[in-house]
Amino acid sequence: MKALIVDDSCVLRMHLGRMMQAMGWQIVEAENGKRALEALRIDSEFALALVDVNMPEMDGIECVRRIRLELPAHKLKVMMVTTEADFPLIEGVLADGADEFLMKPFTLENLRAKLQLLSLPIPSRG
Amino acid sequence: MSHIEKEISLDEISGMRPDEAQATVRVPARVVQIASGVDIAARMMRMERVNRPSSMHRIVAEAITIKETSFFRNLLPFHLLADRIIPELIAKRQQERRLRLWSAGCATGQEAYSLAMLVHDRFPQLEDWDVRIIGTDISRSACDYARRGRYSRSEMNRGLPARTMLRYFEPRGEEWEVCEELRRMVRFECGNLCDPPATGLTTSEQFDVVFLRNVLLYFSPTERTQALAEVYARMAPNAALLLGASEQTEDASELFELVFDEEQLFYRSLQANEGSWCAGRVIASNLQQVEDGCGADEIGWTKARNEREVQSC
Repeated sequence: MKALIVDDSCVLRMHLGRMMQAMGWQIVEAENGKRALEALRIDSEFALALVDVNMPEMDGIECVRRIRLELPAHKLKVMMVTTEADFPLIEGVLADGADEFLMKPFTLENLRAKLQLLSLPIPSRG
Repeated sequence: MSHIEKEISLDEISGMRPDEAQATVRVPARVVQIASGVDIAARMMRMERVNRPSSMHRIVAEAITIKETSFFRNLLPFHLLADRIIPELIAKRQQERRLRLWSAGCATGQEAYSLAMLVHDRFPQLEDWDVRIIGTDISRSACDYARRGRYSRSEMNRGLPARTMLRYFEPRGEEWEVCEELRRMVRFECGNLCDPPATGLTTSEQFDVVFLRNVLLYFSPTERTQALAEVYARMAPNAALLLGASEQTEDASELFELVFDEEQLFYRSLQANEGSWCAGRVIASNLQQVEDGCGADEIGWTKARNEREVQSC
């Protein structure tokens, strides 16, 4: 399984990448939303994108919108991974096409629990 | 922690100041083989009822409990509840229009709130039913935490889908608080599962669903039997019992029927069905029997062994 980690912090990319690799994932990194879109356009094998919100050039919110608009056939799961966790932001980004939201700081167990949710979601009315 | 490495005399603890007792029970080397921690706590609770220092049992209970839990922990039991158990109960409870769910050993409350979210979210037809979720735990601090209903980011990250979080929680600074809608459905009581007079439940309280997950594994065989007997006594006809993945009812196998549902299983109490004769089904006491090709359905019928069942007929 291949995941794209989108974050402008190389430390965070490395930290998250190690966690994902520990769970058997293959990792590709992108430093902003623009680079993430480029990677996704040329490779449809990604199963998951872990996307930060605040990034230069193209932020995570715009990145998610563009992914869903430009790559509608892509069966990519998108999880936002960010320090910002206010209600309107989470609501907005889920409406724009993100599948899950992981708040920083997080543990490997938190990450694993969220990945489990993406394959076995609790059905929701809303 | 279920067992201690060295026996502590109750008289020894009773004579201590609370801070001394706390230090004593928290040192693993002082704790036992003979009496498990839960047994000590049960005896402490009985001591309180005869006017011994009320703080003592709390100290022990806090020291021995593991408050490990999360929202929708392990997920699969919640799917089983939503896809099979509750729909079946809805069909059987059309007259009473009442459901009671018990999160036994609820720790800090995430399981009880998860049950409330599932019921509210998946079963809008229950809106005008009397539905209550009761969480009980021996740890008073865990119950207080659960009643407060505020969870940290780390706790929210564990198993709670983002959309569900937005639907049922409100941000309060760095924490998230359970909404009023859920609070109205859920109640928390401090009590000891192995001590029937002190379970925290009212005498007549009966349940349709019991979640007793990852609790029995910390008990001694005697305590498991006591706890299962208490759970059995609290189960309404056709009620379902869900245990943790590594737990079974082998210590009280005559009380429960094992029910298989694809990759999962749950238990039903062997009580007389509504208006029917008093009988129960002998259950497969462990999974080996099923693997050997002798499933619960092939074992046959027998008379109920439990006196309470006979009386209920």
